[in-house]
Amino acid sequence: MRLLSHNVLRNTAKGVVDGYPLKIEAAEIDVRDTEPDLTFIRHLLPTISFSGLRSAAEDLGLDAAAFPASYSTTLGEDEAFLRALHKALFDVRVLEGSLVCPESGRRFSIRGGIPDMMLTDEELS
Amino acid sequence: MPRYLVTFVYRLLDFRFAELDAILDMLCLDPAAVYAPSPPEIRLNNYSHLLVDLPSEAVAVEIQQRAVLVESVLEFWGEGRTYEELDASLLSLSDDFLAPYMRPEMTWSLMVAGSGKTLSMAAQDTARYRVLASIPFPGPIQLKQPQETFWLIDHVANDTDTTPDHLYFGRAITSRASRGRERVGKGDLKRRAYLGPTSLDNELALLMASFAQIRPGTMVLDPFVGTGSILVACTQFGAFCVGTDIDIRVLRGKEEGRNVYANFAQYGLRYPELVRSDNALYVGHFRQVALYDAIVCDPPYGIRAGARRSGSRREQVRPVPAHLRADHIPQTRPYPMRDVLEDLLQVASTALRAGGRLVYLLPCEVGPEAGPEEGVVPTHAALDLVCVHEQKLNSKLVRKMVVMQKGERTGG
Repeated sequence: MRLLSHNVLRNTAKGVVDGYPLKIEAAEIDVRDTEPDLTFIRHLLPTISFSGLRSAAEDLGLDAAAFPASYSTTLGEDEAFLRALHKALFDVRVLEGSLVCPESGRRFSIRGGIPDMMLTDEELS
Repeated sequence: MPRYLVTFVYRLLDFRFAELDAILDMLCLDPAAVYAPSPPEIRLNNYSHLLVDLPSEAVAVEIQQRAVLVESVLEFWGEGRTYEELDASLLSLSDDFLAPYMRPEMTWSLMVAGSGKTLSMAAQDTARYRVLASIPFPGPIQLKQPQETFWLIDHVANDTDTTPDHLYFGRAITSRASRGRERVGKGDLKRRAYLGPTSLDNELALLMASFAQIRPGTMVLDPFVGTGSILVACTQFGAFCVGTDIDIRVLRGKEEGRNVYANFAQYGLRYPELVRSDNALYVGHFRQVALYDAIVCDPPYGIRAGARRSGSRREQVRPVPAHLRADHIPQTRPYPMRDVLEDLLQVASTALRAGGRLVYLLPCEVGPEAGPEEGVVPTHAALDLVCVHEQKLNSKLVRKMVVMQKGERTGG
């Protein structure tokens, strides 16, 4: 699971309001540097949740302060920021661990890099 | 605009012009201007050659590298219904045009191909000398990796009444440029590391990537990812891919080296994101944001693999005890085809960017036994239908490829 996925995943089990952002408890992480495509990152920029991104960065011990609290149109011109964003979203993969719902504490396992978001019957609203 | 000759492979006839349309649209070219030199009936008669006007050779190279059903793209030099007409056409080429090819150091070869017929070696030689009488290249002939390769194509039409036999002469564009067609053999499922019973044929997966207009920097979702055939094709064209599936066993695979990731490692492709989730509950698993440029999938309809969605078949549901939760595998129940499609269109309407494409396969029965609802392509207010093309699987079954596009004004 890359942080790009974390940025969109949420828990909507019965009784949960936002279920976002999920807290990451990582047991195994793989970091591989890849060359950023800045056009692509700019393209993604408006869809990114910065609260989710900062929360994930804190959970993984990355520099959360490198990311602003919210989106602004000038971010697309800041190349250093775009590179940091690429690194956070694409270069870090959580291979083993859990995602924990901030409201209910419900845990979703991550195994072999694949988060399992399935809900049980009684959790389905 | 320079003129080119596109030659198609003799496969999936209903798809080949449509694939070219999708690629031209992706390159922001007006098909009416591109197709101008070819009479419209060529498309109706499934002619295997098509004259086009393209703004530059770079575009011609792009089409050859991209299109799965294009055999090659030639720079067009001359044509005729007879050799006399072809000679006249070639003799009218200007000296300026020919000058780069009349250098004594240029190595070259001339290939003769029959289309719709087989030419004997003797017939090929006769044709070759006939053409060279009009254009005498002075440089040395070289069969292996010449600087320029020329083609003479002797084409016999299926329907000689409307499109008579024709001769074409052209120059291969950048003879060492790769061809999109080569991807079909290279990605053959027979050599794929990890396969399932319903892994999608590589040629069709590549074709879907063309229809979805995948290019570098495209974000793609396959909500029924299975063993990842479609995403392997999309990643080859530079997409970043996300795949979800309800079946954790398929996603995890058998062992190291035999799982979905192995299919990407095999071709040196960037790993996709994989998430176990239920397409029927997409908005429950994911934040509602228009993240994707394309959604490309082969949904499970129950013809080859039964579709499943979350939920128990029991009326009364028993809660899972807390101590068993960690490894609990939630129940799934059958997922009717109509619901699969309705959910897919709903996901596309929220998760696609404006202008993004949904490309999916829809198998349908044909013939008198097929019900009235069979084969009806569902609609959605936020999605425009771009095209539907059919591939005949057997006498009772066709597979439709449906291409929809999210409207520009429907927000997201």
